[in-house]
Amino acid sequence: MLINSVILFLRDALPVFVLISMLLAVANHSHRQISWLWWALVLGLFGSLGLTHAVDNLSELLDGAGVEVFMFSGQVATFLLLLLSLYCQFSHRRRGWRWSAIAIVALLLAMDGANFLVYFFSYWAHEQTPLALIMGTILGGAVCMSVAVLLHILCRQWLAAGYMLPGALLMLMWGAGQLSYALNLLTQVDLLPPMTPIWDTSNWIADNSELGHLLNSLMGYEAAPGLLQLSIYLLAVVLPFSWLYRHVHLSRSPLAAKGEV
Amino acid sequence: MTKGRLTLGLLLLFGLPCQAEIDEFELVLKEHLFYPARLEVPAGRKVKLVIHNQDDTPEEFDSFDLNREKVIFPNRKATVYIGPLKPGVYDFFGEFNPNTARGQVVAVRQEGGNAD
Repeated sequence: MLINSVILFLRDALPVFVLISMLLAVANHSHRQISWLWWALVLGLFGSLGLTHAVDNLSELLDGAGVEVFMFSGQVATFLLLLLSLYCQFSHRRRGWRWSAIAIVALLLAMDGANFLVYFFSYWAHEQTPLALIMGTILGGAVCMSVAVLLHILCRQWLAAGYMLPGALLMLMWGAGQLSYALNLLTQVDLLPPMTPIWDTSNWIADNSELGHLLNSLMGYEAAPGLLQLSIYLLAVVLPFSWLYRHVHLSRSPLAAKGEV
Repeated sequence: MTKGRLTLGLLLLFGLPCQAEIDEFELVLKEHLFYPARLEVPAGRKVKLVIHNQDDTPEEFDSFDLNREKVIFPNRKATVYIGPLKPGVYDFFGEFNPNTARGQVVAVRQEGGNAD
């Protein structure tokens, strides 16, 4: 049960830690106040408690597809907010960045937190000794924190060296991964047709391995992706990144320096 | 009705074909065990899996082989669609009780079927 608690915590919490570490790197680099994060955490925690309370009724809606449709909509909203946050970061819109960062962290925390809370409350209500759950949560939290700190340092280094694009690419890959995962939810309730895998790398890195979980949380790794998933993933990374790349290079051009672009 | 509209909208959006007949299979979760623990389904066809949770705690039906995960609340049922599957054995488990709630979907080639 200890290992199970660790895995569940990693699966549900690691994407949130990854997102916060990347956003914090941007915030710290541009000397923003940290109050946005407290707002996001409070809203996200209340959101996850509310969703935990409502999720069993939600699961009955749309002929049993309520949770999947809700989660898919939430992931689409998360990705759009991520794009808005990157746009605000690159065009130096401080207020817009702050609100988009609060919204994206709160939304993701509400969705991922609700899943863990369902497990947490059911375990807490029936187990005599919750030690394994507590230990699992602490261990999982420590692993998430370690990954987040390393990622934060890496993003800070890039930003300090004047490179905005690598961090943005990492954020886009993370967001595209979340979006691509959400397509599976629609497939499992028959709202999208079955996706035939176009390759299978399970023998190298299985989805259920530790590295598989880590890569999935970082950049949406799937051992056997479908064509639709891969297409959405590539579009979600390449199109916004092209715009950011062009924006950065135009703003560095001599014409831009003279204010003619 | 609403789901039908959603399905139609998504199919029109992605321009993909619709399959008419879908076989339905049932699984029961009781005292953190799946019944039957080994479920045979036809290979090469999409099938509907209805899972009844008769326990008083939630459980998450999870399968890396089938690429499916769905929470089933106490004394409720949930539906997941799987396949088309190649002939073979696909493990699934209850993520909240992985030591006891375990099972397998076995995709078997049908007479005159088109599975690989």
